[in-house]
Amino acid sequence: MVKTNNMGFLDFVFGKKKEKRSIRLANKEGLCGIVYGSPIPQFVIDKNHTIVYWNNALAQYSGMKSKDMIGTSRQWQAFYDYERPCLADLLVDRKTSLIPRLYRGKYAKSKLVPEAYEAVDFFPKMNGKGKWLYFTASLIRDEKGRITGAVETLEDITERKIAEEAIKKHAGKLKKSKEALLVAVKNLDAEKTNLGREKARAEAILMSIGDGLVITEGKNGKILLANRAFEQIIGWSEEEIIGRSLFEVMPAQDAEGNPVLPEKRFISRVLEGERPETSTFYYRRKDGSCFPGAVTVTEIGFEGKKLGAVSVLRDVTREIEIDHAKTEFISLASHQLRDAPTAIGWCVEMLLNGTQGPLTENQKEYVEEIYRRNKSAISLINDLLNVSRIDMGVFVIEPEKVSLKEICENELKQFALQIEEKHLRVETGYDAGLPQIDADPGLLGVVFQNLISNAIHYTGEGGIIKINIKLDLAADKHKNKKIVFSVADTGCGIPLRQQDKIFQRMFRADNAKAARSGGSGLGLYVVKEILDQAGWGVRFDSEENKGATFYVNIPLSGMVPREGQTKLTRGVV
Amino acid sequence: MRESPKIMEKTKKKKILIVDDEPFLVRALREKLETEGFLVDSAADGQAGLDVVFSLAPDLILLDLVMPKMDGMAMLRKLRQDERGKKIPVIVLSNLNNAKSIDASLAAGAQKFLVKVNNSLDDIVCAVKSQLK
Repeated sequence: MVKTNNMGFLDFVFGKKKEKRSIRLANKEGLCGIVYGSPIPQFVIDKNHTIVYWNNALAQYSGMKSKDMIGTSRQWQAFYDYERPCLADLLVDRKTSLIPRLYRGKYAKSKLVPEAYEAVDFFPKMNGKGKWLYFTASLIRDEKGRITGAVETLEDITERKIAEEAIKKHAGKLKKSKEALLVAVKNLDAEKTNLGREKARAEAILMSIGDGLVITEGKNGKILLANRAFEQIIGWSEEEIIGRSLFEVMPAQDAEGNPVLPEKRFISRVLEGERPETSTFYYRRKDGSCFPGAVTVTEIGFEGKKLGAVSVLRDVTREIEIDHAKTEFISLASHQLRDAPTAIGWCVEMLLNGTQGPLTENQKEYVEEIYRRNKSAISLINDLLNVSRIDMGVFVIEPEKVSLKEICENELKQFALQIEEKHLRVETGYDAGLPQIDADPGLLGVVFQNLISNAIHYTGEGGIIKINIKLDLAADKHKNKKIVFSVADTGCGIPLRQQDKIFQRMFRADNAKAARSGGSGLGLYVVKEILDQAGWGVRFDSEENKGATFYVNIPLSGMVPREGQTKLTRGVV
Repeated sequence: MRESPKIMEKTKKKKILIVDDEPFLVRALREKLETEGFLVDSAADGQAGLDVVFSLAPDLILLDLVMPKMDGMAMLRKLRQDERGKKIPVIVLSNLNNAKSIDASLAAGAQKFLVKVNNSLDDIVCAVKSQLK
């Protein structure tokens, strides 16, 4: 049995051999002081696992006093909740094979002391909050090499461990951030590749568009990009014009040859917030020649700022040629088509006016029928020409200050004969103080004429026609006041089932065909087209056999002028 | 005043020149205008028209546009370049009625543009009279 006092421990360590005692005594006292005073917690067991030494530092750490521990084998209580061997116990029993199982992943063979093991573990029970301990156990042998016990030294590494954990955690975080960063970079690369691909695709599309495309920056029209079609149209290569002002590279002039100032160019106007209609200017090529170009400009904005513009340019030489050819054809055809009816009309007029001698009643009737039919033919020719002009696209609108009443009265005058023949009663009502309106008198004449003509043609003998021009002071939803022109008749009306087709070209309602054989079905189509293009409106109320009322809404603002290739013409009555 | 009353009466009549290449239209117009008390002469193309202008000194010209040799537009321009023709009122009487022809005629110095087919002989007489007022 090992002695249970502290001196006994030294005896135990240094042995009791008398011959060596003197030396050892001298050492013993010194050592005793050192060991007991050591700030490093340690304990020693003998080969039977009995604690022979439990120093103050360990007592403080574990809360277990040396006098209670020495002589017992309760060393485990300092560390564990249950009875189990400590590292020192395993060494004493030479059961190092159990170390891996009991200290899995936490132990290592000492590199400094033979047969010693070290380990790091967390002891949740210690000191309330638990402690991280680094502990070393090594064997104690006597002179003959026999195992007499083992010593276990502990080091509190909690602080270090916490720091390490913090570092680890931090490092983990860092690693994660780094990984995230790498992923982001990778994504960015992918995005960049995608963007690159998108850009390449967009560029490929832009470059291969058949229309000329030029992207400019700012009000000076600095060229940033121009596609192949643009290069071909204007004769400059992209390299030659990048960075230069489009206005300088491609000067514009109007149809009369007057230069178009930069601020009047579409790009400038679009950047000023205007919405100019696409119309044609003549642009100069590199070689000095000019071509008619249609330009559509779209602004490029970013966060509300206008940065530049995308302009799409089309050389419309061919279209203009075709337009000219068409216009030419129509005007020549119209000239030829009118030749015969002109001659017929004038000759019949000479017969009817009596200068060529009197006609018999019978002759007069025949000649009058020729006269009427000739007028129908002329009217049809005029309608057809107007329709073909409308179909060609743009007819001229030339507004001037007009009196609606005057135009209406003029048109009405043309029908005096028919009104008389059919014994129609025409009642007109014009509001006092009708303002003059900016309107194209020719177009307005065509509209009024067609509506009045329909009322007269489709109203039976003795019927009533009411023509009104009234100021409508009730403002519409756009707060615009208007004038309403209306023609009401007591004629055959429009059957309900055909009312939706009444403005279609060549459409004639069944009852209208029966009432009058000569109509072309073009009049209302022309009326609708004119009023639509002038931005006005036409509507009607009708009940079959009771009559029809057509209304034209005339805004006080009148018509907006418009350039065009053709003029529509009033026909004859 | 040494002229006879007959000549005086004759000179009081306004002289109208019709320039048109369609004989029957010219005939109808001429008869109508003469019935209305005008003196009428005619030419079948622009060149002949100019010759008559310089010899007859008409008070008004009714001018067709589409004609052989010299068309109406060319004649109108030449007429306006000449001192003798500068001030004679011209009514263009044509079956052309596109915007270009109308604008060009008026720009070249025509007073009025009438589309033949849309105007009766009566309408034309009215226009002539109002122009000569």
